[in-house]
Amino acid sequence: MNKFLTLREAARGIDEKKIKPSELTEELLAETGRLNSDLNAYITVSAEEARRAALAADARQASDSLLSPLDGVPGALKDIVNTKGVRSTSASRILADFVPPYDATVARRLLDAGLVLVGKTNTDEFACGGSTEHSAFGVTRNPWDRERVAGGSSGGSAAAVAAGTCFYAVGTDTGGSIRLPASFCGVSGLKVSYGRVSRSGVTAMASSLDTIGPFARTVEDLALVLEVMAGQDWKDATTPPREVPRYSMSLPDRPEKVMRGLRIGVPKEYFVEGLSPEVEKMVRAAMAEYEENGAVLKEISLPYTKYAVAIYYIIMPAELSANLARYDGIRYGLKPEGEISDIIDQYYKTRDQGFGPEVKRRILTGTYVLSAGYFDAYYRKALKVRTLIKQDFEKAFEDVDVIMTPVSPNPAFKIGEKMNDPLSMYLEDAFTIPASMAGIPALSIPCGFSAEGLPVGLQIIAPQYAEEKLLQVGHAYQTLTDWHRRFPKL
Amino acid sequence: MGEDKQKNSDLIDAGRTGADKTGAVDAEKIKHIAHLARIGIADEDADRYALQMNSVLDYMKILEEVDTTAVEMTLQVNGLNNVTRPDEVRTEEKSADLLGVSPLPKISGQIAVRAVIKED
Repeated sequence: MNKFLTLREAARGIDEKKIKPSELTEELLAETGRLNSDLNAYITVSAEEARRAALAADARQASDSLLSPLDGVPGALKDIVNTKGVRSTSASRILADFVPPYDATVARRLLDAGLVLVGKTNTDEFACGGSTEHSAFGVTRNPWDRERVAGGSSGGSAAAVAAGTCFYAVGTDTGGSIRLPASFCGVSGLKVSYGRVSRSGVTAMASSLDTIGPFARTVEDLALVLEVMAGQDWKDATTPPREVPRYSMSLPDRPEKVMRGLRIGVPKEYFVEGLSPEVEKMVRAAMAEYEENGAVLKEISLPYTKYAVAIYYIIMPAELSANLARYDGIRYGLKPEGEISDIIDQYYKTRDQGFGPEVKRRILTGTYVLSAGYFDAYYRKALKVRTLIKQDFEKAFEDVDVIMTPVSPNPAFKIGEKMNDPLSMYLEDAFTIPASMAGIPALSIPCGFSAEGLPVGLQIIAPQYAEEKLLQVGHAYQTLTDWHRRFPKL
Repeated sequence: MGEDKQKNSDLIDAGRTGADKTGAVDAEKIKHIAHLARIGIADEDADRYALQMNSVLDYMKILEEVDTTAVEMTLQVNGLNNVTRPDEVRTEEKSADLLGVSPLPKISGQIAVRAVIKED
């Protein structure tokens, strides 16, 4: 059984010719076939493409010409990452039959490094949600408890890794959509600094916030994937010309190398009454682990934290409503049912039949806050408060190296529990949204399990473009603990 | 810390107990916004969206307590300005492939849409 190896271990096995890419791929495709009808982690399983890529990797393995540590290793992509020739639905009816004519930059880079694509993972429609319940293709179930959500919006990617159907998966994080599902599914997930990874070819949600990042079993594996994904791209003008460090090469062999003298900020605004005592206990225990190995904990304040959710649900829908205007049923998408009287009616029917309720809600909210008369009160105000949240972090990082918090107030909730109460669902992201607003990187790593056996995540936040430091800090914890080596029984 | 705890539990719990029914939008307003967004919406759905949007808009009232008079807006976070590249034609996708994505009929390299301007 290879399915619960780390990416590093699988790569080593391939490099040493102990594991053949095609055999590994068959094993994981069989697992995917066995589990996916229940978990619904994948919208599309691309078995044919995977087998073809694996055979090509076999040949490179035989001729000692492997392309990278990712070569021949099965992975998955969130279904908003467009893949040439492989259906990419964004989990929406409006794109249910969309086969892109090109690859997203991140897909291209991973394929060029030898990705064996198992499939396209489930998500909330257009990444709009925190539970993957808003997918037009049905909910993704949590591998640790089938009655619970996997988190969202990248719930399929998190569940796919947790269930051992791939060694890594790409997700996207606009307000917490990598960190929340990583936490709920007990895997490691990285939200990068805004601009670190090209957004080209990834269906746009909120363009000033969208980031693309990896899920994997370990932080070391995240580093291996990120060093392939990251970097400037002429197709995305928001990617800066900054060098991409070899993240996987600078991880510490001994934890104290990173932990000794590390200044950890503990923001009091994240340890509040709505936080489950169980989650708080595990997060504090994780921070104590750092402290025992020489880190210094310091209580800090990020006073504008409590406004983050409010401004997120102004800025994000505003940008989303503009981005989704392109789904007009003309250039892409659905052919609506019923008689069409004129072009406006065609837009009406296409978009009514094509979008699900949460996407419609957000488009309506976005259109509203951008409309004349409300623009100043909502949108302009939100952009100003965004500055204050960003400054909170800038000030905090004058005194500390990283900030540690819970990822979410509670472990995974039950399927259906929050579906009729959008605001309650939105508040699950209260701890992840602030870093998104500031455009800074944040990691979610497993730090314990609840009494009910549900994974709990620790969030580590670092300054802008400090992914290298962030990965070192996360890796150090995983050399001391084995929360990331526990797997669901499936 | 006690007071902060209370304030922040408001953040986690706000809205769970139901929306302010005197909020800013009603079903008619929702229909108008939906028209601006070119989404056809059934009457019964408009009522539900109004209720849900009011609960969210009501929650946003907490922003009123923040003084932002001297604060600049943040429109982007990575500090890049006026990014340019050489004006070179780079064609990776073929127009036929791009047109092929449309669900509508094509006529000589163009997508055929319904008439926008009608005859009397």
